[in-house]
Amino acid sequence: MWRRLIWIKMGANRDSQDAVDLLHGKTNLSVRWDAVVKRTDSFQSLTRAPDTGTDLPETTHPAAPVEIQVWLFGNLGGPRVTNPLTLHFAEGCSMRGVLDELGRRLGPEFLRTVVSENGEPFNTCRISLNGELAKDLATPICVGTSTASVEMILFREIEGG
Amino acid sequence: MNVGVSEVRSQRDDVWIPSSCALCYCDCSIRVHRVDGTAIKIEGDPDSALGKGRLCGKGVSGLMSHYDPNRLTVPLRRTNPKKGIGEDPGWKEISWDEALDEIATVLKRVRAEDPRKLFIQRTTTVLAVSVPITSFAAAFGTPNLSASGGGLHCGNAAHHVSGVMHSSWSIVPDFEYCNYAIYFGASKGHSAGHAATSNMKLAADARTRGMKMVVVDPMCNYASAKATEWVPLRVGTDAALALAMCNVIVNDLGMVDGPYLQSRTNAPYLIGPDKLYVRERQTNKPLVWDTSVEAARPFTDVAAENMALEGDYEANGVRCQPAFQKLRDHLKKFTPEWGEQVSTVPAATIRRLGSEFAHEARIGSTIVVKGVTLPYRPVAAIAFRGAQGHMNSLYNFVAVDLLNQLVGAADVVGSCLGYNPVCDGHPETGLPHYVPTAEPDGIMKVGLWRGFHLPYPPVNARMPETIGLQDVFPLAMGSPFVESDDQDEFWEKFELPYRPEVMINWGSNLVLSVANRESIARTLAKYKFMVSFDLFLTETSNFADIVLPDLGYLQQLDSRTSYPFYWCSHPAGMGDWSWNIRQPVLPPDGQQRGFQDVLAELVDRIGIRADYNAAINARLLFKPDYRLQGDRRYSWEEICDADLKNNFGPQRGLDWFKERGVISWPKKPEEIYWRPFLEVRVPIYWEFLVTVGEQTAAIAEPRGLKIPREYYEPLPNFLPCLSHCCKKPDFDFTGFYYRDAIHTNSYTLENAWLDEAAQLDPYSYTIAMNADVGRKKGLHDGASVWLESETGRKVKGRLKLMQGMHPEGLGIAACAGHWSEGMPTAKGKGVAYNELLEIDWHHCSPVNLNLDLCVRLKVSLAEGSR
Repeated sequence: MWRRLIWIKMGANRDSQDAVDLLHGKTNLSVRWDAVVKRTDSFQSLTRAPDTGTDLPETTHPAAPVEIQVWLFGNLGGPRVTNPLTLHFAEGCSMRGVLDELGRRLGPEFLRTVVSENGEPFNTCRISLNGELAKDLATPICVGTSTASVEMILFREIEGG
Repeated sequence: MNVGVSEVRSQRDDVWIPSSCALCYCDCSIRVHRVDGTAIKIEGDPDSALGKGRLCGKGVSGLMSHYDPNRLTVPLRRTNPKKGIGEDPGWKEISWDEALDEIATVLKRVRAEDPRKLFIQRTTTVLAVSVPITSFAAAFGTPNLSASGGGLHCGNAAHHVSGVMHSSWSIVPDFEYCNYAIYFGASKGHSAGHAATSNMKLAADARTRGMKMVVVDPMCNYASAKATEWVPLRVGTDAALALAMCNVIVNDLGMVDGPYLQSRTNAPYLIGPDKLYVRERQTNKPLVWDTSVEAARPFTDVAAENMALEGDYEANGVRCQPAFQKLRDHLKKFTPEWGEQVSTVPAATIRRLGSEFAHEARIGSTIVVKGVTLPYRPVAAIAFRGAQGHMNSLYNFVAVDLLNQLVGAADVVGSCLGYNPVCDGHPETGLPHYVPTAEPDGIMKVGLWRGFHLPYPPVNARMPETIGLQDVFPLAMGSPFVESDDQDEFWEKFELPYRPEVMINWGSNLVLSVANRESIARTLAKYKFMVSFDLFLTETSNFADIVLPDLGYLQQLDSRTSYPFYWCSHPAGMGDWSWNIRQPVLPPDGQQRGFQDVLAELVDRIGIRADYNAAINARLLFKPDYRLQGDRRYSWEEICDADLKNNFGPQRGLDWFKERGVISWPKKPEEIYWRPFLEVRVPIYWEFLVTVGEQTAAIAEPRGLKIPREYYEPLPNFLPCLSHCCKKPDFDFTGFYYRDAIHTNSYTLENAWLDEAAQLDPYSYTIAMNADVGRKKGLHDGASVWLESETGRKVKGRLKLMQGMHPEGLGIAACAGHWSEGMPTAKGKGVAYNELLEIDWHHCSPVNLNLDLCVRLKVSLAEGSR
């Protein structure tokens, strides 16, 4: 009787799949919070990497020479920068290498604006590689016959709401 | 020709046009009935989860805002250079060309000198403005943006803590399954606020189902009126009540969800004598005590069930304890008797509430939702604007959410939910997709946020680049320093290398919404040049050099009014996702233009088109097929079309959405009850606060600014507001303002229908006082009284005596006090509570810069009142 009453209270208007697992709860109210979930296909989908970043097709060896055009926008650019900056790497590079080279050319102040003390770009610095959000700074940038294109811009606003 | 309105013709027609409301930030989906070119009715759209087919009184009144004869229709230029309250600007009409020429000339100069000299203010009411405005700011190169009063008052703690703990902007009970909700200064589902109309139905169904709702609030207001129990408490003491309840749960009852704490919080992390994590030397990972081998090991290497939550240990040569042990010991001093003394809530009530919450949590139980077995914790502790509006707001929120964390009631069935922090995307495109992740310490980082300064991990404090000085105070979002009385002193102190010269204001009325008008007026008068996009001539636009007539929401186009889903408009819990748009129902009147078009025009005149395109690409995450190219001009319509196709496929562009207004698809349990699916932890011990405090102090104290460390302790405490410290005789009330369901910010007081409703409502335009206290003081209903603050600021209003008010409380519905001739319906209505507010360092939180919004007051009869 108590079980039926509680069923009504908890929502008898739900479909049969939604059931307060009171039977299990009553006899086993010590189901570990982290032991409840079973892995499902949906779980895999949820934790997939977002489809907003890409590596270039690896048509050449990661250590092959690469030319990268860098476009700096907003206050990363300005009068001292003529877009695009063309960077040449004789033995390939990664995005981290691109940032290091930019730091050498534009000075430590530039790097302080885009990279934190631990070497990671600030979240406020949006970097795209060939039109997609740069995924991993350590991944080698490999090119075929085209030049890789990097864009950088800062979104530094801090506002509430 | 205004973008987006090319299809609206003056012709005979009888059509229903889907769009979205903007009378508040909920952006409910609407259908507007237009007959022969005139909008005659607005209803909700039943095909949308946003509003669920319903519309509140504000939404249906939108016609009156649109057709208000006081709407601006031409650009205006001030001719009187003197700016101040009561100064006649001497407006003259100018052409758009003249206006844009002048604005562009100024902006070009500023950009060449230092783009940071530009400061952009915007209203919180229309969320969709965020994309073009932030893109413009990024392209221009200024970090200085503010969401005006709504931004400063509303969420420095609420949004920040919700972000850290629930990867979301705000929190709400899982109405469909919650059995016991306790609200601390919140009204979710019972008034205005996030996803208000959608939540009203959800909350009503929950109450009918039998959900017990306890509302903790100094005023028996919208939520309390529907509650099972109203618990009046002293204004600004939410943390005291919450901490005492936590003590009952942890130390009296011992009812905590150990497995949850072990696996999804930093409760097992070992804490050393320096209050910081004890870390493995090679990897720097936080250590936990592994009970299976009786040794300290990195948290990644230990099964959750073997992580100690209590005890004293030695690791790396130091004595240490799990964070939960620290918490348990810390909570002991917050006895119910102590809680009663601080909050005035009886100790017996505190014990009962703590016990009810813990028992109703059903720790260890499970439930099956759409075939998925999930943890079931049908309790939720919710806080919002009431607990948020104080110097002690951070700990108010941390303490309230601790209730959820202790029993595992976080983003699982029936529990406290963030507003949609996880989205797996449309079934056909997989977009939009965002999921929280773990940073190296295992602590959760949001999957998506409003801007790019994430709530966690905090950036290192550093010398400021922003006029709000948030760089020095990394936990701050809105800042009072953009308008404070002591801003010059603090800019000097912190060596700000420039001073703001130009302001662009979009729709905000900061003279009314931020603090006392004199302080704000002084700040505004300092700007060398100010442009204001407005619908009406407001108190703030009267400080502008140029006023530009904007389109209203029935005239606007926007591709994303409900997105991001974690934000303000989309209901949480199961149901559908709905992405809606806003489209023009009516043409511009006179020379009105949409601000998006105006910004685009300025972008070209200034010469930053390529930068603006790049910013839009980055902001909207355009894939290569849809990216804006180089410095090519794109209309706002083209950008909206690209945004929609980018997310929903080439067949679902603007035309598709204009026909339907919304796209909906079902939510999955894994998206809503996502915590068990992700290996992310939240902090019940805010270890990072210690480091933030040291960094801030390292910058501030050599410059003469003492940083009180009690605000930077890793475990929550009750810290009194200034109102709690007032000992002046006769100052025996604490004033506060609350969100009125009838009005949104200061804007809707101009709406004739809403004004009429507010005049009929006994509370909207009055000062609510406890009836027994009032009568003892010889005051009566309707008496005209002065409210005076400790600093001598005064406002006048009429009393409304009510039983449902804490004896010390005075409640005023915000945000009134209009005097502008440009808003004649609003003029003189209501009580201008913000007039009582000081705005300076001493009246804000030293950790998150939250302005202290409660004020100790003296009440006296106004002359002539009997």
